Amino acid sequence: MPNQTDQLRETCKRLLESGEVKKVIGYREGRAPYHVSPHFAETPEECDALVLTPFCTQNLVRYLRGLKPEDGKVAVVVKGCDARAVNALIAEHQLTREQVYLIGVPCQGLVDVDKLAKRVNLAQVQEVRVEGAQVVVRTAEGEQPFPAQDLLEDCCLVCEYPNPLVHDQMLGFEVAPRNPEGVDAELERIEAMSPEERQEYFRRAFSRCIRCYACVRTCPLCYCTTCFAQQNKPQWLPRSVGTDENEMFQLGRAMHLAGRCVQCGGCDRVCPVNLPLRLLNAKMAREIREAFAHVSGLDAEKPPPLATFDSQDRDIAEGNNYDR
Amino acid sequence: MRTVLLTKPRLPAWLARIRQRSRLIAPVPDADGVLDWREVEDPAQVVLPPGAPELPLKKVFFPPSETMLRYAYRGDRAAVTDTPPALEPFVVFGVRPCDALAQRIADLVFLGDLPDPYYQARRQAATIISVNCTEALPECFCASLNNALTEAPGSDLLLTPLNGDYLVEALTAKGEALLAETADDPTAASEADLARKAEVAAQTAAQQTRQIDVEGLTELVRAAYHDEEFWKKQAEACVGCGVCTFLCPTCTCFDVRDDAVSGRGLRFRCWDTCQFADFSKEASGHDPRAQQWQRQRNRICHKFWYSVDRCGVISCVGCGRCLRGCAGHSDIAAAIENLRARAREEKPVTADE
Repeated sequence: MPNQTDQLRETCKRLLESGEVKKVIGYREGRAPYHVSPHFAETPEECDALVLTPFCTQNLVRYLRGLKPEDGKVAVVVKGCDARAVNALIAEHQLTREQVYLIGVPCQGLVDVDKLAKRVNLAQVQEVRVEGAQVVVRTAEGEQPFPAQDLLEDCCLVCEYPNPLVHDQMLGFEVAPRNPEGVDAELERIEAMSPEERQEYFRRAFSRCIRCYACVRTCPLCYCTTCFAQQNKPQWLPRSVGTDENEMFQLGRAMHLAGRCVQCGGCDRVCPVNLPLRLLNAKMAREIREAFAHVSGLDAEKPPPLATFDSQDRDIAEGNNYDR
Repeated sequence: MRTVLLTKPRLPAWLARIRQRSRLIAPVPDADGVLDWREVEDPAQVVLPPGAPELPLKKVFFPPSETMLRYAYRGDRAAVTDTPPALEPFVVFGVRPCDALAQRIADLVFLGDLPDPYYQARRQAATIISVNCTEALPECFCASLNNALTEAPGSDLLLTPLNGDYLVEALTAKGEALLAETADDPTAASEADLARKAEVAAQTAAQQTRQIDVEGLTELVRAAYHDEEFWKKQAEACVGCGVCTFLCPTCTCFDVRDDAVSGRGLRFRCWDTCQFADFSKEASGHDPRAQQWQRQRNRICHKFWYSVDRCGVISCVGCGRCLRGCAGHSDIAAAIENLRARAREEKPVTADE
């Protein structure tokens, strides 16, 4: 049986050769196995560089920004979270289903390079595979298994939707979700804090923010041409870097993403100062789920609750009035 | 200049003596374990990770945001209060040689014909103690670019770990003075110790798998300037954030803005980057670098061409932070290899190999 990577390359070559798509967006390996970059193939030959590894972290749906109908169809490799981002963008009229050919990859989880570096010498790592409950790391000295719990990214450990919900073709077989019940111990820890403790925790984090906007620019759902935090006229937020301004920026972003974030972990992963952005967005997602029974990216027909008005909303229907 | 040996167990006591004398700044984790250049309360807090710490040394001298002056209007006249930084001497410990060299390069921008008083005050007040690397990260490539590992330019003192000791070299008068005032009966170093230091530097250099070949590099970059397709390919994965430049120890761009209400306010500057969409946008609305590929081209051209023309140096020190921090893992060393491949009239390679 051909492996997933071979299958992927064959699929992409066929799509380009037949003219069905103009471009393929996938992943390629850099000099080290854990340096995986987005790869943009426009010829069948360029498909030979495509890879699928547990380091294929980027949410490639982000690179569909600005795609115009006349650009033709683009094939994109999507994991569970990435496919949800496609649905979310379609629901928000940023994309149509016809513009993309989705190559679905059931995802066993991504390996967190920082966690890996604490356990093995990164320079020695030749290959890493996720095999159910364990992650196998191969170095020159042989293979060593680790519990998946110790090496996977936090967002993957709590993932409820590892299989792409929308796709044109699926590579490999569906995998069992690691967290079908939606348990999030880290989130419980934050929720269990007193409001003062929680504020201290997040403000300490926000004090570290250097306002590089990597979180914004990596996010598939942050598609504003100019982020409110970077806008000049009017200027909503000073450009100065300080805990208060950073807090306004990060909380503003969290509000904008409430009910829209697909929990791909992109912002959290790319933050150079380790802001707990996954937790912040997971908290907002939970609030929206509880208040509106909405989970972002499950349904391309369903716009995010905070972007809609419905007179049958539970709050309105039940006569709740917050001014009272 | 003095060169002495300090046994490793005596380092905390030495740092404690330095701290008694002045402020001491070093990589210190916060309660979440995130390292930054922070004031040291207790030498045990200091953490020296392999390679350069995530945040560059420039943050100490050129903070992400700083108030330059305050003003208040009374009628049509403004009373202005300058806010130059405090001038008490301080010591920075745990600097990696690449960062110390990078600060020298930043000096060329800030301390040229018109010295920047805010930056200058901090630079003059600081004594830099570098600690040599014994372990290279896979992203490091300083050895191919400069003499940081062997000469540590920009450092006042250089510590090189040699088994149970640190070889301590005073490289400037400032370093010499600090050593004389704070070292507690150190042992003089021998020729053999210096030879061991050279071995350590060579071993660290040998661990580095990335290289930048600097031969004719500026001309190579200049020749590729108009090759739009090449730069577009290079920048394909760029998301347009500020990580590569904010983490770069030699990037020095800033924005100056006012924050004012009812005639009272302050003027501050904050880090800015050629990667941001509004960086080169003009008042007319025209943007000479309207596309992200043009911004990435600017970054590469600045490091290997404009800096060489203006300041006589390549403004990349090989710390590898831009690659470590990049969302798309864009590799500056690979970009240079691609430039060479292009010059050989080969098809630009897309993979890093």
